Amino acid sequence: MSKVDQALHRAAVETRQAAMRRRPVPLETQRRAHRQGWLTFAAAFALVVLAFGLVPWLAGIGEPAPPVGDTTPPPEPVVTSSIITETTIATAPASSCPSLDQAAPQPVEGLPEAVAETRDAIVAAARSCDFELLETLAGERFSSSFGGGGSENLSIWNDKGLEPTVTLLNLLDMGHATIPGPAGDIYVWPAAHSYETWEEVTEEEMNELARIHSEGEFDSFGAAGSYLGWRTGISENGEWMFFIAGD
Amino acid sequence: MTSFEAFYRDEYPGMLGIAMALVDGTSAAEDLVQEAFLSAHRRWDRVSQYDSPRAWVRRVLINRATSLRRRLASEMRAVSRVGPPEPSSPDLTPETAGVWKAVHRLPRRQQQVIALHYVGQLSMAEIADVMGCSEGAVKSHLHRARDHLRGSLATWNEREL
Repeated sequence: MSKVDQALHRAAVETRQAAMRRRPVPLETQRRAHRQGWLTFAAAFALVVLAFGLVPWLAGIGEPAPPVGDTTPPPEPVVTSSIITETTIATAPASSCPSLDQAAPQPVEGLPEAVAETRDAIVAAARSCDFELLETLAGERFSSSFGGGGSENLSIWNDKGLEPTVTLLNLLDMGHATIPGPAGDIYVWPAAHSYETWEEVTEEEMNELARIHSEGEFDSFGAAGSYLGWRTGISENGEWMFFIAGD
Repeated sequence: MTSFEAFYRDEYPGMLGIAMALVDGTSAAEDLVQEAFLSAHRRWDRVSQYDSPRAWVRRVLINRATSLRRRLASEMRAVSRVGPPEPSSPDLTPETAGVWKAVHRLPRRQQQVIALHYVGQLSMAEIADVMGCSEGAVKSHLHRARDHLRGSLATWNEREL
């Protein structure tokens, strides 16, 4: 065993022992559930007091109060309308993960290491249909066409099946470009997303885009003046920023 | 199906050890482990059906560790004028903390291999599964990591080696 190996083994043994000594802290969900339990109880108590005490009193001096429990359901997450209305990619149930050999992006030369690693991790997770892992790869600032912000909105992939996954893999197989972001460059796929006008998109790029968009959608990009289809971006420090379509 | 509670209890120490090797400071490591288990908890219906939920949660852990280090690096740059406080690991001796500091200077994939191999005690095949690469790539990262460390650890504490 080399000296480096010995040093690493010693450090590892000590670290494992230190970790064993630490008691598992209650998972945040348990603490949160505990807090939420108390908050729910407090809120319910307040409503009961309101219902049996304050409301009759208010009823005597003004308009009747709205019935307790008449709560408006929270609004559905806003889903950005996607311009994609038809697709050439057959959808499949989320439970199956067929071979995605036709959408197997190869490594790209010249990407910063952090960008390449994130791209590789996205490709690996997408190819194995590991939607949960995809969620964890999304950065805190991640946005998608599925609504909301952060990684959680990717959970809709569990219902959507393979279609967005195949779209994502196809995107990452296309040429890329950089656009300025809030903190450095963002590497975007396809390159067409970085062009100011739809006219700048080359024929070769059109052929690539035809894998995920129809002629009708091309017409709508032409009418809009620029590419508004699916695109994805990774910041120069490797944060997955968006996977989105539409304007 | 294993209950999440049992999974959490059984896997927590192993996960924490790996996290302690990947990030500075025990509390940062604990936060990281929490985040990884929360991801598993939210999707336990599915994750528990995987061939290896253990590998999955470790994959999430190393991804989160990378994100954390990126975030800290940007924060460090932002506060570099005043000088950030040194994170502490009171649970580790200075020698061990020094070894992990040297490991943190390695490229990210090499750090992960070291943490998963030495602290996590995973086989080459298991590490390849967690990292999403081939066993050959794992061996290559490990070999290069040891090469790099031979220089830096010797400089750091020649007597220890």
